[in-house]
Amino acid sequence: MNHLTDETLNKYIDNEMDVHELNIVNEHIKTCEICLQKLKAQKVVDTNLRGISQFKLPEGFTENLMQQIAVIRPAGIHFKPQKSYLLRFIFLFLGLAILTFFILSLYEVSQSSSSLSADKLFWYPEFLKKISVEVNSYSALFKSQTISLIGGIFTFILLISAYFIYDSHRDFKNRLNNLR
Amino acid sequence: MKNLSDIEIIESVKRGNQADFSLLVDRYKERAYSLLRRMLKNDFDAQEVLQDCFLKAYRSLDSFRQDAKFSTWFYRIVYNSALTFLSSKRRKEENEMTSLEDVLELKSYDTQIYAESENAAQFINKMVEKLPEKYSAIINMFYMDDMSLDDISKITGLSIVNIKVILHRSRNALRELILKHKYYEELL
Repeated sequence: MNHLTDETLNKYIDNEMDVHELNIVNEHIKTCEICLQKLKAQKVVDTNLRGISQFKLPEGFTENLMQQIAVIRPAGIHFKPQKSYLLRFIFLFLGLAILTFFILSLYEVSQSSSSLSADKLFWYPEFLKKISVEVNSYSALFKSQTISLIGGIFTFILLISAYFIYDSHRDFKNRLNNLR
Repeated sequence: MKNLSDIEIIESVKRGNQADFSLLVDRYKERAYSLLRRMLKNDFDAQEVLQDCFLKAYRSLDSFRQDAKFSTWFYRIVYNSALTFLSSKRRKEENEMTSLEDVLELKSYDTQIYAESENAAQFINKMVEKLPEKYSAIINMFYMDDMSLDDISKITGLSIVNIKVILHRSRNALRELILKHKYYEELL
Protein backbone atom coordinates (compact mmCIF):
# COMPACT_ATOMS: atom_id res chain seq x y z
CA MET A 1 0.00 0.00 0.00
CA ASN A 2 1.10 3.59 -0.65
CA HIS A 3 2.10 5.75 2.28
CA LEU A 4 -0.47 7.91 4.01
CA THR A 5 -0.93 11.27 2.30
CA ASP A 6 -0.91 14.66 4.04
CA GLU A 7 -4.63 14.88 3.41
CA THR A 8 -5.25 11.52 5.10
CA LEU A 9 -3.17 12.50 8.11
CA ASN A 10 -5.10 15.75 8.51
CA LYS A 11 -8.45 14.00 8.13
CA TYR A 12 -7.36 11.52 10.79
CA ILE A 13 -6.40 14.29 13.22
CA ASP A 14 -9.63 16.21 12.57
CA ASN A 15 -11.79 13.08 13.09
CA GLU A 16 -13.20 13.39 9.60
CA MET A 17 -12.82 9.69 8.72
CA ASP A 18 -15.49 7.03 8.63
CA VAL A 19 -14.94 3.63 10.28
CA HIS A 20 -13.79 2.00 7.02
CA GLU A 21 -11.12 4.65 6.38
CA LEU A 22 -9.99 4.48 10.01
CA ASN A 23 -9.53 0.72 9.76
CA ILE A 24 -7.38 1.12 6.65
CA VAL A 25 -5.14 3.67 8.39
CA ASN A 26 -4.87 1.58 11.56
CA GLU A 27 -3.93 -1.52 9.56
CA HIS A 28 -1.37 0.41 7.55
CA ILE A 29 0.50 1.91 10.51
CA LYS A 30 0.88 -1.55 12.04
CA THR A 31 3.33 -2.40 9.27
CA CYS A 32 4.67 0.99 8.17
CA GLU A 33 7.08 2.65 10.58
CA ILE A 34 7.42 5.80 8.43
CA CYS A 35 3.69 6.50 8.48
CA LEU A 36 3.44 5.69 12.18
CA GLN A 37 6.10 8.30 12.91
CA LYS A 38 4.32 10.80 10.67
CA LEU A 39 1.05 10.22 12.46
CA LYS A 40 2.69 10.62 15.85
CA ALA A 41 4.34 13.83 14.71
CA GLN A 42 0.98 15.10 13.45
CA LYS A 43 -0.54 14.33 16.85
CA VAL A 44 2.29 16.16 18.62
CA VAL A 45 1.63 19.21 16.43
CA ASP A 46 -2.11 19.12 17.06
CA THR A 47 -1.83 18.57 20.81
CA ASN A 48 0.71 21.34 21.28
CA LEU A 49 -1.15 23.77 19.05
CA ARG A 50 -4.13 23.35 21.39
CA GLY A 51 -1.88 24.48 24.21
CA ILE A 52 -0.31 27.54 22.60
CA SER A 53 0.04 30.27 25.16
CA GLN A 54 -2.02 33.42 25.52
CA PHE A 55 -0.15 36.72 25.52
CA LYS A 56 -0.62 38.87 28.61
CA LEU A 57 -1.48 42.53 28.40
CA PRO A 58 0.25 44.99 30.72
CA GLU A 59 -1.63 45.95 33.91
CA GLY A 60 -4.00 48.88 33.63
CA PHE A 61 -5.02 48.34 30.01
CA THR A 62 -8.74 48.33 30.80
CA GLU A 63 -8.49 51.39 33.08
CA ASN A 64 -6.62 53.40 30.44
CA LEU A 65 -9.08 52.40 27.78
CA MET A 66 -12.11 53.25 29.94
CA GLN A 67 -10.66 56.70 30.61
CA GLN A 68 -10.67 57.33 26.87
CA ILE A 69 -14.14 55.88 26.49
CA ALA A 70 -15.47 58.12 29.27
CA VAL A 71 -15.16 61.16 27.01
CA ILE A 72 -16.82 59.68 23.94
CA ARG A 73 -20.28 58.45 23.18
CA PRO A 74 -21.13 55.60 20.86
CA ALA A 75 -22.84 56.84 17.70
CA GLY A 76 -26.61 56.59 17.76
CA ILE A 77 -26.83 55.72 21.44
CA HIS A 78 -28.80 58.21 23.44
CA PHE A 79 -27.68 58.16 26.99
CA LYS A 80 -30.25 58.36 29.71
CA PRO A 81 -28.89 59.75 32.94
CA GLN A 82 -28.71 57.29 35.81
CA LYS A 83 -31.88 57.64 37.85
CA SER A 84 -31.92 57.65 41.60
CA TYR A 85 -34.65 55.20 42.49
CA LEU A 86 -34.42 56.01 46.22
CA LEU A 87 -35.05 59.69 45.55
CA ARG A 88 -38.00 58.89 43.29
CA PHE A 89 -39.48 56.62 45.93
CA ILE A 90 -39.19 59.31 48.60
CA PHE A 91 -40.90 61.88 46.35
CA LEU A 92 -43.65 59.42 45.50
CA PHE A 93 -44.21 58.61 49.16
CA LEU A 94 -44.36 62.28 50.15
CA GLY A 95 -46.73 63.04 47.28
CA LEU A 96 -49.07 60.23 48.30
CA ALA A 97 -48.94 61.34 51.95
CA ILE A 98 -49.91 64.92 51.01
CA LEU A 99 -52.70 63.68 48.75
CA THR A 100 -54.06 61.38 51.47
CA PHE A 101 -53.97 64.19 54.01
CA PHE A 102 -55.82 66.49 51.62
CA ILE A 103 -58.52 63.90 50.86
CA LEU A 104 -59.01 63.15 54.56
CA SER A 105 -59.37 66.88 55.26
CA LEU A 106 -62.02 67.16 52.58
CA TYR A 107 -63.82 64.13 53.94
CA GLU A 108 -63.80 65.60 57.41
CA VAL A 109 -65.18 68.90 56.13
CA SER A 110 -67.94 67.19 54.17
CA GLN A 111 -68.94 65.12 57.22
CA SER A 112 -68.91 68.21 59.36
CA SER A 113 -70.96 70.19 56.86
CA SER A 114 -73.74 67.60 56.93
CA SER A 115 -73.82 67.16 60.70
CA LEU A 116 -72.73 70.48 62.13
CA SER A 117 -74.50 73.77 62.26
CA ALA A 118 -73.52 76.78 60.14
CA ASP A 119 -72.04 78.40 63.25
CA LYS A 120 -69.51 75.63 63.66
CA LEU A 121 -68.63 75.65 59.95
CA PHE A 122 -67.76 79.31 60.37
CA TRP A 123 -64.27 78.31 61.52
CA TYR A 124 -63.44 76.31 58.35
CA PRO A 125 -61.62 78.10 55.53
CA GLU A 126 -63.91 79.39 52.79
CA PHE A 127 -62.40 77.33 49.95
CA LEU A 128 -62.82 74.08 51.90
CA LYS A 129 -66.50 74.87 52.41
CA LYS A 130 -66.95 75.25 48.63
CA ILE A 131 -65.05 72.07 47.82
CA SER A 132 -66.96 70.09 50.43
CA VAL A 133 -70.14 70.49 48.39
CA GLU A 134 -68.39 68.89 45.40
CA VAL A 135 -66.96 66.12 47.56
CA ASN A 136 -70.40 65.14 48.75
CA SER A 137 -71.54 64.47 45.20
CA TYR A 138 -68.37 62.46 44.36
CA SER A 139 -68.53 60.42 47.53
CA ALA A 140 -71.97 59.21 46.48
CA LEU A 141 -70.36 57.76 43.36
CA PHE A 142 -67.87 55.65 45.38
CA LYS A 143 -70.54 54.15 47.56
CA SER A 144 -71.21 51.66 44.75
CA GLN A 145 -69.78 48.25 45.67
CA THR A 146 -68.89 47.35 42.02
CA ILE A 147 -66.66 50.39 41.66
CA SER A 148 -64.98 49.65 44.96
CA LEU A 149 -64.34 46.07 43.84
CA ILE A 150 -62.86 47.16 40.48
CA GLY A 151 -60.73 49.72 42.25
CA GLY A 152 -59.49 47.09 44.70
CA ILE A 153 -58.55 44.62 41.95
CA PHE A 154 -56.85 47.34 39.92
CA THR A 155 -54.80 48.42 42.94
CA PHE A 156 -53.85 44.82 43.68
CA ILE A 157 -52.63 44.27 40.07
CA LEU A 158 -50.66 47.52 40.24
CA LEU A 159 -48.97 46.47 43.47
CA ILE A 160 -48.04 43.01 42.09
CA SER A 161 -46.65 44.56 38.86
CA ALA A 162 -44.64 47.10 40.83
CA TYR A 163 -43.18 44.30 42.93
CA PHE A 164 -42.07 42.29 39.86
CA ILE A 165 -40.55 45.34 38.15
CA TYR A 166 -38.65 46.16 41.33
CA ASP A 167 -37.52 42.55 41.74
CA SER A 168 -36.27 42.17 38.15
CA HIS A 169 -34.41 45.47 38.41
CA ARG A 170 -32.77 44.40 41.68
CA ASP A 171 -31.79 41.07 40.13
CA PHE A 172 -30.19 42.76 37.10
CA LYS A 173 -28.25 45.14 39.33
CA ASN A 174 -27.01 42.24 41.45
CA ARG A 175 -25.80 40.37 38.38
CA LEU A 176 -23.96 43.46 37.16
CA ASN A 177 -22.34 43.95 40.55
CA ASN A 178 -21.25 40.32 40.67
CA LEU A 179 -19.34 40.80 37.45
CA ARG A 180 -17.22 43.63 38.83
CA MET B 1 -21.28 34.85 38.93
CA LYS B 2 -20.07 35.94 35.53
CA ASN B 3 -23.19 34.87 33.72
CA LEU B 4 -24.26 38.07 31.98
CA SER B 5 -24.36 37.51 28.26
CA ASP B 6 -22.61 39.84 25.81
CA ILE B 7 -26.00 41.04 24.60
CA GLU B 8 -27.14 41.91 28.13
CA ILE B 9 -23.96 43.92 28.69
CA ILE B 10 -24.39 45.73 25.37
CA GLU B 11 -28.00 46.55 26.28
CA SER B 12 -26.81 47.93 29.59
CA VAL B 13 -24.17 50.10 27.85
CA LYS B 14 -26.80 51.35 25.43
CA ARG B 15 -29.03 52.30 28.36
CA GLY B 16 -26.30 54.61 29.53
CA ASN B 17 -24.17 52.43 31.82
CA GLN B 18 -21.00 53.35 29.99
CA ALA B 19 -18.74 51.70 32.59
CA ASP B 20 -20.23 48.29 31.82
CA PHE B 21 -18.28 48.27 28.56
CA SER B 22 -15.29 47.32 30.71
CA LEU B 23 -16.94 43.92 31.25
CA LEU B 24 -16.66 43.26 27.52
CA VAL B 25 -13.10 44.60 27.47
CA ASP B 26 -12.05 42.23 30.27
CA ARG B 27 -13.81 39.34 28.59
CA TYR B 28 -12.09 39.70 25.21
CA LYS B 29 -8.89 41.68 25.70
CA GLU B 30 -6.46 38.78 26.27
CA ARG B 31 -7.73 36.66 23.41
CA ALA B 32 -7.87 39.58 20.97
CA TYR B 33 -4.41 40.68 22.09
CA SER B 34 -3.01 37.20 21.45
CA LEU B 35 -4.47 37.26 17.95
CA LEU B 36 -3.00 40.70 17.25
CA ARG B 37 0.32 39.84 18.82
CA ARG B 38 0.65 36.79 16.59
CA MET B 39 -0.32 38.74 13.49
CA LEU B 40 1.72 41.90 14.12
CA LYS B 41 4.69 40.19 15.84
CA ASN B 42 5.17 43.20 18.09
CA ASP B 43 3.87 44.02 21.61
CA PHE B 44 3.59 47.77 21.20
CA ASP B 45 1.79 47.63 17.83
CA ALA B 46 -0.59 44.95 19.13
CA GLN B 47 -1.54 47.05 22.20
CA GLU B 48 -2.09 50.15 20.09
CA VAL B 49 -4.26 48.36 17.55
CA LEU B 50 -6.20 46.57 20.31
CA GLN B 51 -7.03 49.89 21.95
CA ASP B 52 -8.25 51.25 18.60
CA CYS B 53 -10.35 48.13 18.09
CA PHE B 54 -12.18 48.56 21.40
CA LEU B 55 -12.76 52.26 20.70
CA LYS B 56 -14.04 51.40 17.23
CA ALA B 57 -16.35 48.75 18.66
CA TYR B 58 -17.67 51.15 21.30
CA ARG B 59 -18.39 53.87 18.75
CA SER B 60 -20.16 51.40 16.48
CA LEU B 61 -22.21 49.53 19.07
CA ASP B 62 -25.41 50.73 17.43
CA SER B 63 -24.45 49.01 14.16
CA PHE B 64 -24.02 45.67 15.95
CA ARG B 65 -26.90 43.40 14.94
CA GLN B 66 -27.96 41.36 17.92
CA ASP B 67 -28.72 38.27 15.86
CA ALA B 68 -24.94 37.91 15.35
CA LYS B 69 -22.39 36.89 17.97
CA PHE B 70 -20.52 39.80 19.53
CA SER B 71 -17.31 37.74 19.55
CA THR B 72 -17.47 37.20 15.77
CA TRP B 73 -18.32 40.86 15.14
CA PHE B 74 -15.50 42.06 17.38
CA TYR B 75 -12.94 39.61 15.99
CA ARG B 76 -13.76 40.84 12.49
CA ILE B 77 -12.89 44.36 13.65
CA VAL B 78 -9.66 43.06 15.19
CA TYR B 79 -8.65 41.00 12.16
CA ASN B 80 -9.38 43.77 9.66
CA SER B 81 -7.62 46.37 11.82
CA ALA B 82 -4.54 44.16 11.91
CA LEU B 83 -4.54 43.79 8.13
CA THR B 84 -5.02 47.54 7.69
CA PHE B 85 -2.18 48.22 10.10
CA LEU B 86 0.09 45.79 8.29
CA SER B 87 -0.66 47.25 4.88
CA SER B 88 -0.12 50.77 6.23
CA LYS B 89 3.31 49.67 7.37
CA ARG B 90 3.85 48.54 3.80
CA ARG B 91 4.53 45.03 4.77
CA LYS B 92 4.20 42.35 2.21
CA GLU B 93 0.58 41.96 1.17
CA GLU B 94 -0.76 38.49 0.85
CA ASN B 95 -3.34 37.23 -1.53
CA GLU B 96 -6.10 35.03 -0.16
CA MET B 97 -3.97 32.02 -1.00
CA THR B 98 -0.52 32.64 0.39
CA SER B 99 2.10 30.69 -1.43
CA LEU B 100 3.53 27.55 0.10
CA GLU B 101 6.91 29.24 0.23
CA ASP B 102 5.68 31.41 3.11
CA VAL B 103 5.21 28.36 5.29
CA LEU B 104 8.45 26.84 4.17
CA GLU B 105 10.21 29.94 5.44
CA LEU B 106 9.84 28.30 8.84
CA LYS B 107 12.94 26.31 8.06
CA SER B 108 15.08 29.43 8.27
CA TYR B 109 14.09 29.81 11.96
CA ASP B 110 14.40 26.13 12.72
CA THR B 111 17.97 25.95 13.99
CA GLN B 112 17.66 28.93 16.31
CA ILE B 113 14.28 27.98 17.76
CA TYR B 114 15.28 24.34 18.19
CA ALA B 115 18.32 25.47 20.18
CA GLU B 116 16.12 27.65 22.42
CA SER B 117 13.40 25.02 23.02
CA GLU B 118 13.39 22.28 25.63
CA ASN B 119 10.42 20.36 24.29
CA ALA B 120 7.84 20.14 21.51
CA ALA B 121 5.44 22.53 23.26
CA GLN B 122 8.01 25.33 23.44
CA PHE B 123 9.21 24.63 19.92
CA ILE B 124 5.71 24.81 18.44
CA ASN B 125 4.75 27.86 20.48
CA LYS B 126 7.73 29.78 19.12
CA MET B 127 7.28 28.48 15.59
CA VAL B 128 3.65 29.64 15.45
CA GLU B 129 4.92 33.19 15.96
CA LYS B 130 7.00 32.83 12.82
CA LEU B 131 4.07 31.84 10.64
CA PRO B 132 2.80 34.46 8.16
CA GLU B 133 0.09 36.74 9.59
CA LYS B 134 -2.96 35.00 8.20
CA TYR B 135 -1.62 31.58 9.09
CA SER B 136 -0.93 32.50 12.70
CA ALA B 137 -4.29 34.29 12.95
CA ILE B 138 -6.15 31.19 11.77
CA ILE B 139 -4.14 28.87 14.02
CA ASN B 140 -4.85 31.21 16.94
CA MET B 141 -8.60 31.33 16.27
CA PHE B 142 -8.93 27.61 15.56
CA TYR B 143 -6.83 26.28 18.43
CA MET B 144 -6.73 28.92 21.13
CA ASP B 145 -10.21 30.39 20.72
CA ASP B 146 -11.73 27.08 19.66
CA MET B 147 -13.67 28.78 16.87
CA SER B 148 -15.53 26.91 14.18
CA LEU B 149 -14.38 27.07 10.56
CA ASP B 150 -17.62 28.89 9.81
CA ASP B 151 -16.89 31.63 12.37
CA ILE B 152 -13.30 31.98 11.14
CA SER B 153 -14.63 32.31 7.61
CA LYS B 154 -16.99 35.12 8.71
CA ILE B 155 -14.16 36.92 10.47
CA THR B 156 -11.48 36.62 7.81
CA GLY B 157 -13.65 36.65 4.70
CA LEU B 158 -11.80 33.55 3.46
CA SER B 159 -13.67 30.49 2.25
CA ILE B 160 -13.84 27.43 4.52
CA VAL B 161 -11.86 25.45 1.92
CA ASN B 162 -9.04 27.98 1.99
CA ILE B 163 -9.03 28.10 5.77
CA LYS B 164 -8.64 24.33 5.81
CA VAL B 165 -5.80 24.56 3.29
CA ILE B 166 -4.02 27.08 5.51
CA LEU B 167 -4.54 24.92 8.59
CA HIS B 168 -3.27 21.80 6.83
CA ARG B 169 -0.22 23.55 5.37
CA SER B 170 0.71 24.98 8.75
CA ARG B 171 0.36 21.63 10.48
CA ASN B 172 2.21 19.78 7.72
CA ALA B 173 5.12 22.22 7.85
CA LEU B 174 5.31 21.90 11.63
CA ARG B 175 5.02 18.13 11.40
CA GLU B 176 8.06 17.95 9.13
CA LEU B 177 10.08 19.84 11.73
CA ILE B 178 8.75 17.64 14.55
CA LEU B 179 9.82 14.58 12.56
CA LYS B 180 13.22 16.08 11.90
CA HIS B 181 13.87 16.69 15.60
CA LYS B 182 12.24 13.41 16.63
CA TYR B 183 9.88 15.22 19.01
CA TYR B 184 7.29 12.56 18.21
CA GLU B 185 9.17 10.32 20.62
CA GLU B 186 7.54 12.36 23.40
CA LEU B 187 4.39 10.42 22.59
CA LEU B 188 6.00 7.07 23.29
